[in-house]
Amino acid sequence: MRNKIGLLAIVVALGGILLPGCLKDKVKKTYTMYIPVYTKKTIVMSSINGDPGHALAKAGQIYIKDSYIYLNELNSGIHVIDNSDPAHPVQVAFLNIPGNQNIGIRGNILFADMYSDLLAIDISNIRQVKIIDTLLNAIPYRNFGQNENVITGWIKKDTTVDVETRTGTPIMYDVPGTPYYSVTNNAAAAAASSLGSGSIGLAGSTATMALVGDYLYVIPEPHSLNTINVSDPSKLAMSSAISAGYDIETIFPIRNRLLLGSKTGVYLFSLDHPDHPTSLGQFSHGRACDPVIADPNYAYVTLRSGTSCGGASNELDVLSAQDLTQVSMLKSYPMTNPSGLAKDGSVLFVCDGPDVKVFDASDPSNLKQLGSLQISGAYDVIASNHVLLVASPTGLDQFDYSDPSHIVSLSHLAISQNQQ
Amino acid sequence: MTKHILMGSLFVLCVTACFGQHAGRFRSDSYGGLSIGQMGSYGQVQTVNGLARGPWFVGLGAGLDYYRYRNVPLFLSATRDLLANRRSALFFILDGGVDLPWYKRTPLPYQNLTSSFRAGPFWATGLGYRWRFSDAGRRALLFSATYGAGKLTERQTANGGCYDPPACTINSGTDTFDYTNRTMRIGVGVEF
Repeated sequence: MRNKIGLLAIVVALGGILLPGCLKDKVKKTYTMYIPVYTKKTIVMSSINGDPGHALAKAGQIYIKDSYIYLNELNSGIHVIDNSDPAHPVQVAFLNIPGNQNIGIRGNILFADMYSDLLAIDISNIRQVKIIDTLLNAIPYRNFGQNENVITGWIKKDTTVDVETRTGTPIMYDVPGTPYYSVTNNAAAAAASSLGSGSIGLAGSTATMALVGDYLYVIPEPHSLNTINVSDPSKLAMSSAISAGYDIETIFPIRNRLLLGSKTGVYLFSLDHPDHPTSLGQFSHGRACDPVIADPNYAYVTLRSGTSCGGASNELDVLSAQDLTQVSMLKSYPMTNPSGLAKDGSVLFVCDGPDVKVFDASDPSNLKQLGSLQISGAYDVIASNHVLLVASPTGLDQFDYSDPSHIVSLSHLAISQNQQ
Repeated sequence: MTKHILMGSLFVLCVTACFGQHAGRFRSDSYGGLSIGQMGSYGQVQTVNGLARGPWFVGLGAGLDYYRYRNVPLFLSATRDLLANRRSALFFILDGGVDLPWYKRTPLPYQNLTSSFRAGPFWATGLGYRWRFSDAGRRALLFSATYGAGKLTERQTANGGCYDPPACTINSGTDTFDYTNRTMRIGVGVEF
């Protein structure tokens, strides 16, 4: 018996010596990679007038100017929708602009990003637009090495690779969708907005580009603010590029001020010298994603937790902002998962998870909910002239809120789900 | 996974039925011990119940293994005595079956993620030693040392981690991870 125990001991010992190499775990990761397809910029820019019937597949920023809706097709271009009759919106044009995420319009000039470049486009004839100038590298964060070329498509390819096995407690591998995983759309400049100027359109609250007077203010990446002189659209010129804060997401102009919504607060900038905004301070809140809008007396900020935003707050904060240098919290309202918001007069609309909530904001310290519109995943709204425009993954909805307590649906422009 | 289990169960039924026709006796081997591999040492238990005839023992085994991701091996086990006398024996072990996952990933708060595991094949081979408490008794103390591998597959789907709200759809994606966990298992057990 001793011999057998000895034999077993020898086998175990030999195993201990020989097996470590065989004890290495094997982890294979299969993922989908996208290989960019490049096209010469000259070719792309010469074919900017696209097919008006271009399918609506991945809606992005919304923007309104006069009787038109400009709806960004994420990274592809801009749908132009004739909204003379909000009950029957009609797609009348599509502008092929690869990499586009943002829109701003002053007079007959549309400003749009094409990845890192900024285009000034004459839209006097919306069916036959003309590019009148290009500012190269205005948004350097989105320059993916395409100086002469631009990404016009992606080739999908499934790939399997060996993954190095980490020892110790099991932890998460890189996860698709996290900031560390893939190139995201983070650095986008977004739609422009301004108050008090009849020649400038109106953007949603998630914009990261704003037109004020002769200047276009752009968040090129989450820490900076670029100022571009657009007084002569045929000669776009960078005026300044400053460090503005941390994790900046949205921009909203109010009077001669800029409010920059960040994941940790709201940064305030003065436009007394419009070519070079100067910091006035900031209002801090818990970490969360936060579109911000304002009226002359109050600022409204939605805080959203989850995804890459971090934090656990889901609320609507109303800030007293009569003196923008002395912003203070007025009241906080609990929300489900709020996103974009808009205000027209005393009516406040807030995208909140499965609904768009409607509030009577006559007294900002005591908001009264008047109702809600069931639009799942709505991410941004524009309210103007008693017509509410709601953007969601399923399409573009319009409502008549002449009577805020009895809102009437006007139309629904569907997004092709099979192309998502 | 259901297909694997059904095929394995069918095979076990066939084998045990064959043994049954030749008057094999019921035997139960149960072990507790460690699974040792690159990720460290984790607890494991298993039991094999089947029929023994002569130097052979064939049975259906089930276990619980905490190596890397908790899993339940379900397998057919065959052993053969190599060197035996009345009180003790050295025996060869061969196990094969499926590894069923029993693990739920808890993503970190910022990871808007869903995860699901799928079963994969499992095998192990090694040596064991049996020492009976008495010459005539059926109870015995068991020692085993096996080397093997179990495979689990995980699908991780991100649900729109997003910086700029309209851009959410771009970031969605699914990754598939195939984990082949190679371990040495040592165990102490009893036979009835």
